[in-house]
Amino acid sequence: MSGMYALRGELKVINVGSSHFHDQLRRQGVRSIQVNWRPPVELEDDLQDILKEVL
Amino acid sequence: MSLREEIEKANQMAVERMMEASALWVDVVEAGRKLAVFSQPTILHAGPPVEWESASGPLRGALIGATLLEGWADDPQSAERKLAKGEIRLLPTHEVGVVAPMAGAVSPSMPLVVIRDPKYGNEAYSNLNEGIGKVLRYGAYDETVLKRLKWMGSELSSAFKAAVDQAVKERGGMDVKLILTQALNMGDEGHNRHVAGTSLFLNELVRYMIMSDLPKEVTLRVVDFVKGNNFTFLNFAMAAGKVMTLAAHNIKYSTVITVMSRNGTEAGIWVSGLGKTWFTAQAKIPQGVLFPGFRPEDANPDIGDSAITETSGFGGFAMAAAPSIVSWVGGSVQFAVENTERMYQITLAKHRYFKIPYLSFQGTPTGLDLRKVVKTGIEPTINTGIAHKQPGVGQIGAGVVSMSIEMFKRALRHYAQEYGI
Repeated sequence: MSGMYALRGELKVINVGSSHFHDQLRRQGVRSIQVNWRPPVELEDDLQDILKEVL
Repeated sequence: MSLREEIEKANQMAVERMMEASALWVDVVEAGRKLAVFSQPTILHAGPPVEWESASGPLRGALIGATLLEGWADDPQSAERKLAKGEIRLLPTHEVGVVAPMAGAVSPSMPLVVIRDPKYGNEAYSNLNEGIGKVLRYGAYDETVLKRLKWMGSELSSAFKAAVDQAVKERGGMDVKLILTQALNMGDEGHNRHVAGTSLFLNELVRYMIMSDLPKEVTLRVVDFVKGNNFTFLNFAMAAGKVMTLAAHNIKYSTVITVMSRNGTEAGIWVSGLGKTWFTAQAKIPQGVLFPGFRPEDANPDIGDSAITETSGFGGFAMAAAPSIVSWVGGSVQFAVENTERMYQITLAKHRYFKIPYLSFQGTPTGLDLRKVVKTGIEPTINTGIAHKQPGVGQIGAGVVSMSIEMFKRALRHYAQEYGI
């Protein structure tokens, strides 16, 4: 029921990650904003330690 | 001051100098007269150091061609033998302030353009661009290639020399940075698209050629050659990029990348705070649009010094400025925009002078930061040409490639050792 309630009004989307969904929604006239995000990179321990010191 | 603060201060200085450096074309000289390394038989090549045994097909082809051009061998077979025996020394262009596209073969009789930065007192050099297709820089070396190179080393370079002398007399030289700045506002990205840059360059050149009283037929041949080769301005833009990155190089603590280059086997980088030490990894194979008749498996791994454009804040990093480039390198306009946006995540500043109209005249991503590349895992994107992997063939397309994360990891580990982390 709550899902149906949400779709009764104008659909507004915040899309996180792959911009494909955002683009498709925009093409269909849906208001959508894109948040560029991707999972953190897995790094070797020694590089993580160095980055803590320099960044 | 903490190490982190030292790095911030050094990087700020490096980026400031990179953006503020000027780039004036002031001379054309024979490479052998300008650079002391040519006192013995030597050919320069793009990218990190490489010996004949590991050289890729297009580099081998270019080295054979340069050996024939110099008259050090009478035929390709004897040229190859001399190169394999090490009778001709191979040196990386960057180590003597030169940048040259693709194979980057520069031998003593070839003309170099001299780009000067009076502000920070640096000079950088590049050779002259031959055009696309069957050309030396893509590994072709037949009679047509050598004939064109001989003409470029005589009539073309003499005409350019006369023109640039006139430009120096009138205005202290030709402002290459200004042309580049305008070209970025006219649909070029400054690496793989120079339609605007070459036109603007020609506008300036013609005036100086007329003023220097060159014979009409010479002027006409030179104008036709430049007009027929949209990549004429590439080499000037590259030397300008080199002089800008020289201003940012050798700053203690700085993690700004000041060289990215490839030799067709390996790709390598320099870091401002780590001097001239190369950090390398395997060069990747570009993805893009191939000329008719060629297949993806014909492509050689990436090659050339032209990534100096991205290193200094244009080229692939400014792809959003050049929507038309997708017809040449592949992809979509959206990809071009997204690529530029991604590069902001691994750079330190938005360029003060190089602007992108489509992004509300935002500055281009400038000052590639070693730390950010490793942290984010985002590999810098380069717009590039594609060479056939066999020597003697030439260019087979154009596309996009990235610099492997591995060389950045190696550089960061070395940085930690160097600065006692």
